[in-house]
Amino acid sequence: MDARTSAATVPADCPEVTGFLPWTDPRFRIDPYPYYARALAEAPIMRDDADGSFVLTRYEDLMHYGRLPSIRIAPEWKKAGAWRVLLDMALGHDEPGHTRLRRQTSKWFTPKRVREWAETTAGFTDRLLDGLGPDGLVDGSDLAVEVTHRTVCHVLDVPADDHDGVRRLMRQAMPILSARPAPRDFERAEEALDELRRRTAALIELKRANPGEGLLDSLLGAQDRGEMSAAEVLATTLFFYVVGHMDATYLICSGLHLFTREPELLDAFRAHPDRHEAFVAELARFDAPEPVVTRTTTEDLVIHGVHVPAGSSLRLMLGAANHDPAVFDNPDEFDFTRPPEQTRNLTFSFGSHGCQGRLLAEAEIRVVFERISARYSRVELTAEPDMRNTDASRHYYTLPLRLHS
Amino acid sequence: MNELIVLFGTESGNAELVADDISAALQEKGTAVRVADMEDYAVDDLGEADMVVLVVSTYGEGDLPDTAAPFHDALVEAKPDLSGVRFAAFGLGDSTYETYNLGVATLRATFTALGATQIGETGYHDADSGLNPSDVAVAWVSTVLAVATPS
Ligand SMILES: Cc1cc2nc3c(=O)[nH]c(=O)nc-3n(C[C@H](O)[C@H](O)[C@H](O)COP(=O)(O)O)c2cc1C
Repeated sequence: MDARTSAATVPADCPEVTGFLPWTDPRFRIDPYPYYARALAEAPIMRDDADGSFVLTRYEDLMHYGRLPSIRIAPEWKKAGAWRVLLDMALGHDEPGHTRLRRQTSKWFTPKRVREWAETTAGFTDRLLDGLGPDGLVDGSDLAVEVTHRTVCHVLDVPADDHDGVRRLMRQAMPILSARPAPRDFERAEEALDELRRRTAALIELKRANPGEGLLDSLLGAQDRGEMSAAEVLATTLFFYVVGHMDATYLICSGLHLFTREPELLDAFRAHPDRHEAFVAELARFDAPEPVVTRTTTEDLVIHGVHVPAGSSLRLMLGAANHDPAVFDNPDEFDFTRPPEQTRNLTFSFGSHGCQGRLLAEAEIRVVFERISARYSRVELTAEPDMRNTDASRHYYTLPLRLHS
Repeated sequence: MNELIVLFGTESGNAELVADDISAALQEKGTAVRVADMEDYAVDDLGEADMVVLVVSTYGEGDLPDTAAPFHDALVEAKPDLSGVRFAAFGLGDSTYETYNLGVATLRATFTALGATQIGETGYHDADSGLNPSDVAVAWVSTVLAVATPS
C-alpha cells in the first residue's frame, strides 16, 4: 500500500527506528547496508523515540525534504556539542549567511585550482611511496592521512607537520555526531575541539607573522576588509584544517581495501584511465564515510502520511539513499561502469550545503590510486583492518598493506 | 567569422572550465576564440566580437554568480546598444533547485532587451544529471555554430 495515498484515511505506520537501524549494534556499524535495504523497502519514515527525530532513507525523499526552503541547518549544529564551533562558518549557517561565507572559500576549490592541488597530492604520494622499504609494507590509512592532510595544508598555506595529532583529535571529536553519543563523548569532543581551536589560533598567528598566498591569507584579507569576523576566520580555518584528511582518507582506504579483495579491480583501474573519475564516484556512492546529515523542520510536514511537527530533527540517511534500488540497479554491487544517471551520490551531501572540498577529495583519491596502480601490480592485506565506526562516521584505524611491485 | 568571445561568469569554477573547453574545441576546428571572465570585461567592449558565447551558472537563490552580477548590473545601468551583437547562451545549474538555471535566463533577457540577437537555443547543464558539463557544452556549441554559420 502506498503510504502517500492512504494518508488521509489511515494513520500511517511510523515504526521506531532501532527496529530497522540498530544504531549501536556492532554489526550495523560495520555493515549497515542490509539494514538500510530493509528500511528502504519497508519503512520510508521512522521515528527515534530517544530524541524524537524522524529518519528518512529514500533518495527522492532526501532530495525533496532535505531541500525544502523551510528546512534549517543551524539549529542542528547548536545541538552538536563541541561542534557548535561550525555555527561560525558556512556549514553552520542558513541563507543568507551561508552564501556569504561560502563565497569566501569557493574560488579555492574550482576545477582549475583542484588540478593544481592534485599535482601536489601526486608529489606527496610519490615521496611517501619512495620511502617504503623493499617489503612494500605500509599502513593504507597512515599514507592516506598524510597525503590528504599535506594537500589541504598546502591549500591553506600552513605547516603540515602534524597529521597524526590532527587525526587523533578528530578520532576523539567525531563519535559525538552519532544518534547515540555516550556521555563521555561530549567531554572528549570538547577537549579535542579546545585543542584544535588552540592549534588553529596558532596557525593564524603564524600566518599573520609570515604572510603568504594561501586560503588562510585570503580569509585574513577578508577579515581586514571587514567581510568576515575573526570568529568566522577561525571556524572556517579550523574546519578545512581538520576535515581535509578525514573523509578523503576513508574513501582512499575503502578503495585500497577493495583492491585487496578484488585484485582485478586494480587492473581495471589501470587499464581505463578514462574511467578514473567514474571509479571514484562509484567508490563514494558505494560506502559513504559520513552516512547521515541532520536538518530541523520549521513547518509541520506530512511525510508518507506521518505528521512531522515543526521543530523536529530529520536524520537524512545519505548512505542509505546511495543504495536506493529506485535509483541504482544492484545497489550493493560496486560497478564503476554505471550510466551517468546512476553515478549520482549523496555522499558529499546535496543542495547548497554540498561539500566544498568535493572536487579536491575526488582528485586526491584518484591521484593516490593512479600513483599506486602505476607503481605496483597488486595490493595485499597483511592483517585485518581495524575499523571504528559509529552510525554517523566511518573510520579506518589501521589498514595494513603490502604493495607488490 | 572573425573572432568569438566566450564570456563566463562563475561561482565555483565550473563555468570557467566549460568556457575553456568550449574555446579549445572551437580552436581545434579553426575558429579564433578568446575566453574572458565577466568580472574583468567592460560592457562597452561587447561590440568588438562577431559573436559572444555566454556561459554562466546560477547561485544563491536563483541569482547570478558573484563574478557575473557586476557585469549584469553594468549592462542594466549603462544600457549599451547591443543591436549589432549576436550571442549564444549556456547555463549551468541544478534541476533540484526550483530556481533552475535562472542565472542564464536573467542574462539572456537583458541581452535581448538591449537589442542583441540570440543564435540557437540556450544550452543547459544540469548538475543533477551526472553528465560532464564540458561534454554537454561542447556538443551544444557545435549545433549553435552550425546555425550561426550556415554552409
Ligand atoms: C549555494 C549554491 C546555490 C545554488 N543555487 C542554484 C540555483 O538557484 N539554481 C540552479 O539552477 N543551480 C544552483 N546551484 C547549482 C550550481 O549552479 C551548479 O552547481 C553549477 O555547476 C555551478 O557552476 P559554477 O561553478 O560555474 O558556479 C547552486 C549551487 C550552490 C553551491
